[in-house]
Amino acid sequence: MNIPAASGTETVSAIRAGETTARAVIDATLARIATENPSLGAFTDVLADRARAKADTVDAMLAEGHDPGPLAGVPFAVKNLFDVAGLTTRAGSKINRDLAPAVRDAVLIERLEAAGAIIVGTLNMGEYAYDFTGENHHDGPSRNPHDHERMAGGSSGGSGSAVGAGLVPLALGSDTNGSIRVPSSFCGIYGLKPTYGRLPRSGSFPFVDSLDHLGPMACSVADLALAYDAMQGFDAGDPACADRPAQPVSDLIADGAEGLRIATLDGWFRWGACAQAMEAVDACARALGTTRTATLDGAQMAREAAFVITTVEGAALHMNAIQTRIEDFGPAIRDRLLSGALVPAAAYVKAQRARRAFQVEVAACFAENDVLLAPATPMTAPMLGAETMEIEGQTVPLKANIGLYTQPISFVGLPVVTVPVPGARLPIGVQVIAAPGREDHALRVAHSLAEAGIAALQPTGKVT
Amino acid sequence: MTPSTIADLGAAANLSIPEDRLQGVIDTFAITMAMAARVMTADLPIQSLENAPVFDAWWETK
Repeated sequence: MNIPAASGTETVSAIRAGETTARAVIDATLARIATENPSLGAFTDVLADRARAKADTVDAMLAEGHDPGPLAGVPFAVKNLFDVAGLTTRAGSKINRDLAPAVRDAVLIERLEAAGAIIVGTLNMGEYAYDFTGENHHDGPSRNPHDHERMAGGSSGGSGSAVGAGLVPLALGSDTNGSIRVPSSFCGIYGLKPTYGRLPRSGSFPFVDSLDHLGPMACSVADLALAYDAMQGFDAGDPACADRPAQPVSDLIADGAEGLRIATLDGWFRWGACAQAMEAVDACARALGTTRTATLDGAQMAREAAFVITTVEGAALHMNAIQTRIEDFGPAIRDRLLSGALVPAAAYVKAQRARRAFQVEVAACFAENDVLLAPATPMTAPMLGAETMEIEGQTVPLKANIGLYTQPISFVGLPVVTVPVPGARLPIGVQVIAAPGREDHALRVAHSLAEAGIAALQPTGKVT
Repeated sequence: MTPSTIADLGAAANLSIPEDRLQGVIDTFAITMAMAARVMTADLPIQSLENAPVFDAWWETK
């Protein structure tokens, strides 16, 4: 086993087989972070003492014949909007650094550690999650593991960078408009954005309450499934959390795509993407043996409505700081929050109406299909600092358009697995989208694509 | 929209927009309202706010 680049499932197997120990895994992980992170900018805090203590506990349990859990000894890290006891939850901001340290871990961290996983640190992110680039004015950018001069994607940029570079096999991110799926695409890893309300957000710093999701990012489909299973379950600390029983998926992924009706989304989802993005979707469709297509006519308006809801709810959340500490926001987010504070309330209300209308259209689409395929991003990772992009021959603002294909999907809370498709130089992601509550369908198709060799991690090569 | 208009609008909302950010806010506001245009003119079914997805795990209660 090549510690720490091994997947979570490989790590668990090796520890259980006595080929290594949790302590050895954690020591190797911490050493790799110390070596690689200065040039990646992925981690903002490393929890070495805590991780070693937890590893010793896992090893002791195994030595005594107890089961530490399905993620025994798997190192993971979390976007720094998750509460970690003893750390200030900075959420990528300067302003939050004035807050008192958290007294308790976020619920999802507690659940992963209860399953035997070991937190090793917190990760860089776009300020207050209002970001698609992974650039951070206060902490510096999260860098792309395939090319350090390129964006990791955002806002879970550190999560994408850390997993993509093999520092940890598993990380947690958040996704409001694409913040798990965009860095998964740019960094070439797997990401799961579950159904809205499926995983509790208790103990995480919010961005847009009606759009915020939390989920895992990992180097394999099996790792996503294991982590997702460990984190499922109701928690009253999140008013949006669905009170429904867990639906374990780990034992289902090997069923593959057999029997599922899979279609490629056309229309909005075929407009504006680079050739590599389209070819990645088409390669997935070919591997799955499907020529079906589906159309969501309301996708463009869904995307636009998500944009409006985001800026209004984001501004409302930060209104006090906008009024009193505007200079303490980074320039990228400052203009957006000020602008969001001025948007007419009628636009927000109508955007919510658009949401219900799109939900009806999506439900009809899933009456005829089980899984939909679409690009995750219109392009591979842009250069750090880029401000514009080309869409259909037009030069448009980059940051407002990276989420073209992710925003309509999260707008109605659908579960999505982003799978990485290697390219000549950089990877790109494909969204595998399922009906609400059917994470198993998305993960089964993702597993099929990995088994077929279409979805795969792309070697990072020489780290520059 | 002029810098003075956006500054006045901000002031009415108790927002002090730094002078060097006025143009940036105008540009961002223009992008946002361009995004809102289709939503604002769409013929969408009326719903009460209480029925809006914002208030619950809405795939569970639809």
